Amino acid sequence: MNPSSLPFLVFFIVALLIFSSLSRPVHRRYFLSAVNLGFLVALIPNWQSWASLVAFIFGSYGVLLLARRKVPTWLVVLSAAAFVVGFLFLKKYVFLVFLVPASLLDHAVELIGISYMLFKFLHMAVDLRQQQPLSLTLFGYVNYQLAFFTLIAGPIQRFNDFQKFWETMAPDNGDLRETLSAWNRILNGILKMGLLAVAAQYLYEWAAGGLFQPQSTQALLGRFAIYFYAYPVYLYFNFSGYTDIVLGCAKLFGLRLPENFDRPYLARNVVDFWNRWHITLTTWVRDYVFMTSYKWVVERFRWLAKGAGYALTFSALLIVGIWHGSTLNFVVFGLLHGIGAMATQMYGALLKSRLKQSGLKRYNQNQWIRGVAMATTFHFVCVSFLFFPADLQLTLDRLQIVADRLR
Amino acid sequence: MDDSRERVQTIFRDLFEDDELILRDSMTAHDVEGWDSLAHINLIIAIESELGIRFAAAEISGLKEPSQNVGTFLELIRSKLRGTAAQ
Repeated sequence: MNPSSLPFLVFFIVALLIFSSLSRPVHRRYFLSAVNLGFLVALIPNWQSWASLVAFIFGSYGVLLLARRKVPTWLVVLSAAAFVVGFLFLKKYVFLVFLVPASLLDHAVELIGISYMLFKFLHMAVDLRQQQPLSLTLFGYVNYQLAFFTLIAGPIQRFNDFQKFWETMAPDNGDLRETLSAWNRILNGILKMGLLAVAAQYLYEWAAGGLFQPQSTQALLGRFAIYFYAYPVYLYFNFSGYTDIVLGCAKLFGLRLPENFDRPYLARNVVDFWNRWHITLTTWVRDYVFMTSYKWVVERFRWLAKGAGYALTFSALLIVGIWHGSTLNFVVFGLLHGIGAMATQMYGALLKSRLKQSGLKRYNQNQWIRGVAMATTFHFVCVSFLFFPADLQLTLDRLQIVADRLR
Repeated sequence: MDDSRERVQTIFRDLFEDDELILRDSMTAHDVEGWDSLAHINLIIAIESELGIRFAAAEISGLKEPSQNVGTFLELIRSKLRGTAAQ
């Protein structure tokens, strides 16, 4: 269900009115559970998907109970790893054709939001294992995973932040300014998603579709420029618009969701870009992949610290790329960002060794350097986004046609 | 200056190669050049090793949140030191 569509808005407004009219937290909890279920019914296409979802939710809850107990760590790691393998299978990752019969991958399961559910589950497993205080209940966990605000495309909220809301169930505090700001955010989101993103998508499809037509070099380059810039514009308005809508909706229910965007196309390097784009995904990967593995390596092999920092930065961004989709184009997207982030860190280390603290500060504050860095990063990101929407071969063919003309 | 603040300040100075760095409670990662994710985790590893305490992944990430600063970081360290001393 598209959050900028009329059916979603009607669904949301009716749900909000009923939710606000309920005074007891327990009634609000049951009502919100019913709303989440109703939303799921609209998204889950067949019984195979329902069965997989139920198995994922209850199975992962079992692993969390295990993680809380004093069982050997390998048992928890192995159980969590089984869910990662299950996720790869459900999403039909292309490399699996080399490992399992193709007929096994020809299943009918389609689970929207499973990538987000996996990361939410894994963060809870790690936190529980590290004895972090999480008040785990099956009812709370199911609704954390299936909350209609964040089901389709995040943001990835941490369990404790959701749990505070789930326990108190206080709707928006009635402050008129806060309420208006939430509605303003929803309307901004609708404008971004329903108008600006649609216009950019139209331009992108027009330009991409016309690249193979017979035309002058000038016309081809013009189309390519539109193809090159329109998709990043579409993606930003679509995703940040979606985020605006769900953050505004959640706020009216009393749930504060984390921000996911901070002017990403003003980033001065690839690492900075990921601190501004899909922020909750980046922080998840930073905390539970990069930091955990880097700490593990450095505590055991101190002399490997520098190399491990670069290698794990590369791996973290590669995982981010692959997480976005199951086909080869996302591997290329991840590889590009992995290389970009690693290069950023190497350059940063070089600057630090040459300039020291005071020189580094002057360098970072120089407006000319900042401008060049921002333009370079933006164009790097645009190149990487060429590989985001389409089949890898199709993107390569499009690039080939332009390269051939320029020879 | 209390003992834990002084020890943490020494670690900051070593890591960020700045002998004049003075830790203030209101300081955040934005106030120290080069305090990125990699520097953050190196800082955590150095503090764990120097003070004999352990941080969980959720605690490490919490320290990078916008609402956190050196003051909350030091408070977490002190609470962990009290926990270690009580054992």
